Amino acid sequence: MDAILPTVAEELLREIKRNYQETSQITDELLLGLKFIFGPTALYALDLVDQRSVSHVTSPSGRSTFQVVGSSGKMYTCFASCHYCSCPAFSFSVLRKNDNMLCKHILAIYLSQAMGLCQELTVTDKQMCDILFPKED
Amino acid sequence: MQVSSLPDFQPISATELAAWAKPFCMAQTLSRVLSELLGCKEFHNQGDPGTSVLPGHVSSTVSSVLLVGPPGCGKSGLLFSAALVAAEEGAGPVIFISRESLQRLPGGGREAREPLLLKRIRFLYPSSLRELLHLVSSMHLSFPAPSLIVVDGLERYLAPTCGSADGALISGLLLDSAAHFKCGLLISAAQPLEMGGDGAFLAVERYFPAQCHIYGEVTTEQEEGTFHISFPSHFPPCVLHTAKDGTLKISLPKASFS
Repeated sequence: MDAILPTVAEELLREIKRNYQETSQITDELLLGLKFIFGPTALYALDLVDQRSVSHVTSPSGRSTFQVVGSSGKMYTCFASCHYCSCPAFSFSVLRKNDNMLCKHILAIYLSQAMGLCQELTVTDKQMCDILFPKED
Repeated sequence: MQVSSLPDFQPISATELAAWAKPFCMAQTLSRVLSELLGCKEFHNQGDPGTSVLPGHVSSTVSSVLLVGPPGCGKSGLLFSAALVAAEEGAGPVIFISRESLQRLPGGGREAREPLLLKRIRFLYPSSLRELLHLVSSMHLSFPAPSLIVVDGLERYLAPTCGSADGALISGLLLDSAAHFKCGLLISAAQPLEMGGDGAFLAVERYFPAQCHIYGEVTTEQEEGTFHISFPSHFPPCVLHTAKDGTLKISLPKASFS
């Protein structure tokens, strides 16, 4: 997967990080940039960041991943090393229709990381298995 | 290689990149296997740039490769050879995942030279996609860090009912595990006959930009077991001869000698 973001998106996130570290906010210009690159997804993702929905989960083995609480309250898993989210929008509009580069949960991770708003969570190695591959029957 | 993982947006320095690429560069390993079959002992990128067929800058960062080819073209043999290379030179064991056990060990000579090498390869045979997902999502529990993860015949885990979400999940999990161990990842798959539906295979392909394709030519009167290998920017186009007993041989097409 083209997990590596386009240069323009990476540059924008770097700019947001710098801006937020200095002023604890994001300028309108950068917000417009987000909207321009990611479309409506940007707004939903910022909403998730506001709700502090993103957790960076680590286990003693060193394995790490992300969990994002969606707007419906459902928990989604996103991988740390490549673009993957367990939400339906990722399968549908990112993988199948190719409409979007990312779903709102993955963008929320990028933004939370840039703004330092990720919750840090530690789980056991066994719990990590269930987060990576939830066994719902 | 998915170097720009989520947590960091810092630009990556050349040394960092080298450190990432060091554990096991899959593209290079596969290229070496191909070149050994071709009969050249040394086929490294670093060498006289005048004689090297490979652009040196490309292959050194690719740690995961998808090998796509029709059934019976020798994919398992190539993967097994790559596993032996990694077992001989890598820091950790090799995990070799397949739906069924290999019918025989493909020839190649390396395993005859060093039977102990086989002990450094763990063969695992999960029987369903669910079991495979379970295995890959718990790799961090049970294994010492491997130097290479091999999945032979990924398509045998993807039933026609599987959708793009399944393809993405297994690809993502495999990449994530390989990133966790900083090890190589080599996957083979036969292209499904019908590419319709929800496209699990299409999703898989998206996750592996570095692909080596093996294809047979239908139109020419070539002898049975002759295939073409296309591994752009990592290896020159060449011809693969797969004998009935599984022995693999590679030759360069005549035109490229000029």
